[in-house]
Amino acid sequence: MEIAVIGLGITRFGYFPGLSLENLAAEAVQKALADAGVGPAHIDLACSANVLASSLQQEFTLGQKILWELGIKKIPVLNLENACSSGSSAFYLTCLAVQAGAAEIGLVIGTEKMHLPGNSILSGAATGAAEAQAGFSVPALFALRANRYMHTYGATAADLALVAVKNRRHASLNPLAQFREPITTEDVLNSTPVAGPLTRLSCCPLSDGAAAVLICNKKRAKRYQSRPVYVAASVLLSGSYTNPPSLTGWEVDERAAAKAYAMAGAGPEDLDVVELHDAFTIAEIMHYEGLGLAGPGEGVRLLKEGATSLGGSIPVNPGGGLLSRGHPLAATGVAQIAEIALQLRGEAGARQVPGARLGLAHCMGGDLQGDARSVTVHILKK
Amino acid sequence: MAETGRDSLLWNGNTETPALLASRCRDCGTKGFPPRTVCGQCYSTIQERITLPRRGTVFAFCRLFSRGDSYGKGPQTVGYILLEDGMLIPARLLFGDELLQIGTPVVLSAGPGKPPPEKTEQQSAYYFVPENKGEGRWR
Ligand SMILES: [Zn+2]
Repeated sequence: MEIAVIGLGITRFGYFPGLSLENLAAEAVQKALADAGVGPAHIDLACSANVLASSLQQEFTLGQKILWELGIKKIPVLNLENACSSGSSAFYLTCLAVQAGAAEIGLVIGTEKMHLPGNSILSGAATGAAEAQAGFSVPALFALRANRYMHTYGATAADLALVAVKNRRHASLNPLAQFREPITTEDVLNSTPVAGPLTRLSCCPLSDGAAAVLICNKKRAKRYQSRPVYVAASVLLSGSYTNPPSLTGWEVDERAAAKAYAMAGAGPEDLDVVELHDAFTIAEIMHYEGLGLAGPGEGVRLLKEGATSLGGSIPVNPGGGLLSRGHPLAATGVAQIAEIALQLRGEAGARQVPGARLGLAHCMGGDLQGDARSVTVHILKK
Repeated sequence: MAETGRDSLLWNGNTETPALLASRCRDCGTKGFPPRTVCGQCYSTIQERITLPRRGTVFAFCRLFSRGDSYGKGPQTVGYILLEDGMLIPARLLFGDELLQIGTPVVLSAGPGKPPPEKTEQQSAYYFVPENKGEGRWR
């Protein structure tokens, strides 16, 4: 691709009852503008991602409201919803627009407020008719996969808990993370049961937050940013919905990763750092396998060897992941890309992966017929 | 216009002889549950209505502890059932704890559904039970 990331901004993730969607987004966008050293007038296309505001706050065309607060007007504005991969889908779309020459500088915003009355996201809102009839919740979808994965490969609940422990350790080094107090395997296993082997600490929290990224054509990146990061691959795919689905992996993960690796001319062995969609502990392990970091059934071994911890051979979720950085739905995909960009710029502070040159950001959104509705894979290079 | 999202499309509503409703593509044989109007494999619009086998085995299961759109008080059990014809479907399970394992033979059954909202009629619902009923406490 011909795209460079020239600016990024992330708010703290957490519980912010006093801040509106516009407040959160404005902070992220202003940080990104300052980071790139450009003014609001330079933005000539924007894509705003959000999942819940239309149902919980009767909001629509949120992007225009956010931009109005910042004085940004007259430009093309797109509003996008793609479940948990909304933010990364907005990045995908904006990359295409800038690559096509529709804009010089494109702005990607992901904003979410989840601490609101009526939020039923975890109690079944996002499943199909048969799942709803059965009484499935979102955690149930992952607990069932955990059950099948443990049965197939002999993994234990304590193995899965190690994902939450690792990502909390990483989050303790990220000042913007929602949860920063280190936890133990026992803490995870003994927290409130949610579904099957998954406890409260095995599941991502409800979060408020926003993230923003500025991109431009890579030929002009150095006009704005002395340390641009380049987009080597940008992939968005949806599920194949065949029956029976695999419960021990997502076939669309493999298709999206293969396409991204081909675009980037690189493989999983070339990656220095990864941000992936650990909405639940089991998901991180299955995504290791889907992205080719480990073979089928080898994900737990990779985790237990410490390979995916900071200091390991392929650190995963250095920012704390969805589990501990927090998961304001549409902000997540943008924050993941911003985290990889920070890592490649060598500006990730205490959680820096030394010498990182190639990084991958992965997001997954929604379930349909036991398959993922959308998966994004982005590969960034120094 | 195809209707979606209603229980009446998922099963025949008969608590005595419950059956899950599905589609089968006249052109390629692919089955769909809930029934489809367009084949997910070959895009054919010639879809015949069929019922799925009543028997299968537990492919995955879990207890749900979180409050949610639940069938009343206490934890619920849900799972994926691998039916005799190879279809994998999501379903509610009524089981005694000691019987709960992957591979257990199950059969489709039906009875009272979710507690009805004020001033509405109690609806019935389908679920799977063990084919060889044990003495365990059912939930
Ligand atoms: Zn067909």
